[in-house]
Amino acid sequence: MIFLDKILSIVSKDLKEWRRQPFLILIAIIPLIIISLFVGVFLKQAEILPAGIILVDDDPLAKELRDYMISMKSGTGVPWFEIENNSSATYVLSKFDSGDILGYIIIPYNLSSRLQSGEIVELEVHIHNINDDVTKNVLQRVELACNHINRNLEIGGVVYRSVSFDFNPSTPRDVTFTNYTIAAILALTVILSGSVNMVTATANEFEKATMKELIMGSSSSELLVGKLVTTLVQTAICFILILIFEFMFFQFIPQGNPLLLIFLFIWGVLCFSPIGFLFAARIKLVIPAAIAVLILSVTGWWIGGGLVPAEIWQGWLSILAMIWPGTYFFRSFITVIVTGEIELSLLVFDVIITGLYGIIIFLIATRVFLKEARS
Amino acid sequence: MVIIIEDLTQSYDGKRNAIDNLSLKIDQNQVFSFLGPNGSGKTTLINILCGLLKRNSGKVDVGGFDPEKEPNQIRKMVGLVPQETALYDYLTAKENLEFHARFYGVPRSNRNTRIDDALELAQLTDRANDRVNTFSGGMKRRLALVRALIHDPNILILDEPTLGVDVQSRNEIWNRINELKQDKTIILCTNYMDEADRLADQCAIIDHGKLIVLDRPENLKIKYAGGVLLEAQIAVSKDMQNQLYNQLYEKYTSIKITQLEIDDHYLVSLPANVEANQLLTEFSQTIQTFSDLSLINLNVRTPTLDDVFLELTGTKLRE
Repeated sequence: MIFLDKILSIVSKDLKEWRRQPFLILIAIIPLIIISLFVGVFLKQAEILPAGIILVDDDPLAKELRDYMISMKSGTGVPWFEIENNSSATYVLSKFDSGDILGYIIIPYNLSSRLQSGEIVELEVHIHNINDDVTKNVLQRVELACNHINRNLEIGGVVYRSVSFDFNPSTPRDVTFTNYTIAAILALTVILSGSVNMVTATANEFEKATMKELIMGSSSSELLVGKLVTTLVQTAICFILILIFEFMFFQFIPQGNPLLLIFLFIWGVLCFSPIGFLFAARIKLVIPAAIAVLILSVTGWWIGGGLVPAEIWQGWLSILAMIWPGTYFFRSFITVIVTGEIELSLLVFDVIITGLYGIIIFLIATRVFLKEARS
Repeated sequence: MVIIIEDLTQSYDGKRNAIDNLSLKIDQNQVFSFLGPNGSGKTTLINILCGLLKRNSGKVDVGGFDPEKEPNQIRKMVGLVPQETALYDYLTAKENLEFHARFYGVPRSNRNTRIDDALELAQLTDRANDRVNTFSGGMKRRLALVRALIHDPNILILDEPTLGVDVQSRNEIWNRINELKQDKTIILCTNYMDEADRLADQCAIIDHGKLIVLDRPENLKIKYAGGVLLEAQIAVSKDMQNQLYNQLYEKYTSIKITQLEIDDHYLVSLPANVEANQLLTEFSQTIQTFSDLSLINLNVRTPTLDDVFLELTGTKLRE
């Protein structure tokens, strides 16, 4: 009972202090909002392909094709092509050569009459292959525009039902990517807010010289459990705030079993916040320790598959991703949020790996903490 | 509540001893003062008594318990007022006391009464719901003192309890300490000798981790600074210097002569266990024999613990 009362008194005290120092809340949230905004804006911009269309004549069907391309939008309402107004060949080619546009499409002459006569007309598409993703996107989008023209094509009173590759424009590929990234940001919230909150709750005691009182008044287990519970509550509040932000800006709603998500959240905080404990005990100052864990968390997030799945890394980055326990936590957390489910064996494996990491860091952090707190 | 320290040694890096073979006994219901220059080992000793630090060797017994092995018992019987006050600035005075009371296991049934009494004792009842970061240094010190008392410990350890407070607050804190020693053992670590002089029943002067002396303040003053202290500022020509030195040192073995920054000016300190008038007459007769000597200033006073402290620990700066 006394054990519980001490833990609750630590939690209650810490939360009061936290609430009254908005700065402490902001350093656990602002980096996440900045990353969200950056990634959100970057992703939206990445979906727009600057391209040019060369019209060799004033054929009405060619103009219709061009206008359709201009009007094409992704499921999130972002235009797919940013098309230059000037359709002259000289202008478009110079823009392509200078790299201002990533590709261009030449709509051939007499498009209407040639299609009417049954001729198979080819569109010429030129792309700067900066990566396969861009090339694939351009081709998919041109294909979709051509489908639009081919659909109900009438030649000599005969309406042709052409076979066409038709992907559903209401679920374009960027939605999944956005979902992945937002899920990754929520995973980052768990480890970043968790460790930063642990830093502020602990380093604050060193900074204000109150640690001696705490150590004297409680056993190390009471103190550590109290700080962990405080961190858990603070991180849950940060997580909810970030979730609200993601919903407001990206209409994002997490998938999956809420209980499984809650379990992964608690597990993530318990396993990854002790690193904040370690830094707080060593550095003993809120700001430097918070910056250190912030950098560590974001780097770990990037390596562990925060921006792109960790499987794509090559060489030493791949090895780093493999040995970094965060990779396994991100894999489970992101998979559950994006797809709503996860293989049990995969979940168990990831939970064990992150748990082992958490235990090791916790033991080291406790040892360092007790040594530093008593010195 | 007796505290016994036997052959205590503590070193931080294995080379320098912060505490060096220290042995002493502190009786109950008294104010026991530890005096020592910065870095003398006072804080290390407090940390060991509170169970915050594991000792290297020696025996420590606080009220029958070993702080290292029985920290739960020590928590109940010891209240600590650290040098830094260590209050939570963003909590109110009442919240600070509530946290401490809960943390130190004060039963819920009398928690509020204890908090109200503590606020009254600190004369902070009207500021109970104000955040501590709006308090003056003196108010913080008073609050820190009553906070350490909230779980009714038998031993109270005060580390520089009046550091940085105004005269009124210091006086108030001293009165409280004097009241508290009726039923508590108080360990006072201070750099203010007048504080120890006024409050302490026993004074231990420690330096480099060693116990230099342990006695009642009045005994220390007689023993190490004489019953009276004569201080004279004199001016004497360079030719007469040696003669003056020889004659004075020959007559008074405990005399100290310090050259001042002003040319040919000296400060003579003479502790003695005689009546003030007798010392004054004798000294006047002695210096009258020097024709070129001018007496700038002459003062006879009762020595203080400052004099004892400087006598025993020297005047060299430690930091």
